[in-house]
Amino acid sequence: MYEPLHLGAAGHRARLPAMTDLEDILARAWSRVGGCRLVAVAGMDGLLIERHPSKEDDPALAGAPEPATLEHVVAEVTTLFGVAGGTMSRELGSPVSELVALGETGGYLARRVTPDLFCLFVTGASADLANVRAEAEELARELSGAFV
Amino acid sequence: MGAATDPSRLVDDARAVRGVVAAAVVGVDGEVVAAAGEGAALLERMQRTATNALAAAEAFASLLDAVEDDGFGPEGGREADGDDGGAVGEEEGARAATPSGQGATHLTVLYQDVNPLLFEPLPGGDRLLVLAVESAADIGRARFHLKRLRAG
Repeated sequence: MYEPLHLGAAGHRARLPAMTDLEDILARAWSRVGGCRLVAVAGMDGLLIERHPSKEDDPALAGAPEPATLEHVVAEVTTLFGVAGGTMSRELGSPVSELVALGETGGYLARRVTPDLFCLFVTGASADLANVRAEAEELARELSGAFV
Repeated sequence: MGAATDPSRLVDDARAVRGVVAAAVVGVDGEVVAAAGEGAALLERMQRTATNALAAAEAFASLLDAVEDDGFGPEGGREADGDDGGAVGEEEGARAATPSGQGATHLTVLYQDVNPLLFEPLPGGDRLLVLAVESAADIGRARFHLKRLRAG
């Protein structure tokens, strides 16, 4: 059994299977991507479920987007998945499962985990896109195996 | 007895989710079966809101039945919403459990000034799991874990 650190004294009541805690899965993905500012999982209705880093005492938090900003980003990604689910998906013959948005200072990569969930990587300019894509695929596989 | 059917365990497991500040299992008659949380006032507010919501659901269901008996209206959804003495409430999902346990069951969220409340009908239709979360940013996480808790 695994006791998530955030539970403190209540940890003994968690009864979570080993290594299926959402925060830990996101933390592992975050640590494997150089230049990653944040990893999150969210619902297709635009609600953020979990993010890493998230703890106030985590030094890595300084590089992550503000909570309110992230909520807006998640909502926009949800909209983009909706838009891409139209003609673009019909033309492809399958639903668009991955969205990439790049700018001068970094970018976003969102990957559909299930019809209801997606994961999101927010990266800085130094991140290797191929690595981010590979880790997003791995994270999606891990999340779908652990929670779906 | 699985987590989904043992009220005390359900409350404990719900409380273990980060951002959940209080949890309670409430019967359709408003009786608190099990509860744990930060402060009696919050638990009291949860029970009061749940009781009001259930009463509203029952009244609404009766109204729908009357409309259907008259040959008007679609087949019955029975929706529940709550009121908490002037707090700002907004329903997100709808169709909570009814006393008869009819209809699909869905999560309902009341956004309020403090500690948004989540209502999740439990299997069987005779009890509700009520959660209070720290802020609106915790709703997604709590809702995600609720699905797993319901599955037991």
